[in-house]
Amino acid sequence: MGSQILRVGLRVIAAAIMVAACASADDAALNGVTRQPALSVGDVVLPSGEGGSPQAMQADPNELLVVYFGYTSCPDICPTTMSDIGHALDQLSGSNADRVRVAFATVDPDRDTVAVIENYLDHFVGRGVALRTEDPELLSAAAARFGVQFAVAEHEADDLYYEVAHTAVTYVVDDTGTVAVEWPFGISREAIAGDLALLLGKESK
Amino acid sequence: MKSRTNPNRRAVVALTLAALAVAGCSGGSAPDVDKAWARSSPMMASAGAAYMEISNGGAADALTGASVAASIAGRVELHESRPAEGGNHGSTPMMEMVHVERIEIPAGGRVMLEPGGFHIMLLGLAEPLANGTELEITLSFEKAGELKVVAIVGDGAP
Repeated sequence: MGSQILRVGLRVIAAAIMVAACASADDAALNGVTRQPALSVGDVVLPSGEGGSPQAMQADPNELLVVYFGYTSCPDICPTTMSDIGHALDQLSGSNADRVRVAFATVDPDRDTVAVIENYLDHFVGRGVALRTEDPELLSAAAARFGVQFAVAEHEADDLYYEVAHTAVTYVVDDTGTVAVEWPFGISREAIAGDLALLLGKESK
Repeated sequence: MKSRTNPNRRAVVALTLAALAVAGCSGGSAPDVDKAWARSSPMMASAGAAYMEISNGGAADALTGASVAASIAGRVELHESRPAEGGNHGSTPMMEMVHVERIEIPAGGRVMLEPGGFHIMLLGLAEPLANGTELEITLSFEKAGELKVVAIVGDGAP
């Protein structure tokens, strides 16, 4: 009982410190890249999950949506990024981690079914949303809004091996549909966790 | 009388080890591999990657190939992730992954196979690479020949 009160008390103090920290925080404290003017992507919509329900590139209220364009047959860049994001989420408090969703938009819908993407997200990050469209124009237009480029090598429908190039940047979108920060490939787990904590603090202000 | 700590025997063992070590050196360019690991893979993933540090106390050599048992992956290739030419978008270039024929290991040098750079790509995984398991990879060097290494499956360099 006593320890529970103590724990609640500590949480209140921690929250107070966070609010205090965020009140004085500005974008310069972010580890990732910020753009001026900020990129607005809230009106970009891609089909998500098995049902293909529309997912806007905008986080739910007081949450963050981490958006990545990649492909699951990618053995190096994509799993490294997803694994680092997963570890960064582990560094956040549980309640903060629950306020982050990771959207993985495949640039390789021929090999990536929704089930494959969901399995991939489960493995690396836990709380994810699979984005997949077979409409190349819709995909290209959505990617372009973020500044993402990709190129899929020519292949037959049932080919298992072919190469894909893509922009390896991760975008963090807030609940207004604004890209709050971008992480280049290779940024550390600690830097990711720091940015998420900072942005989540701002969101709950 | 049998003694576990016979000083003579220990000296013999030490001498033998030293002799082997010298023989290893005079053999020239056998590259040394350290911190080999492979990233754990999701259930439905078809591809994986292995990483390591290769140091070379001898003459210049090159990694020209790698293989694993067919029970692990159908195909193994040397790959490099690198910024794609001509695809630059401001400060955020596209990354592409290319198949490379060889990875040069300079004399007295050290080459890192690491995320975002050179890696050993495992294609057509027979089973997911599970955290904590080990994976034997046979490396083929141009001069030093074959070298078997054990990679630990995890989510970062050991």
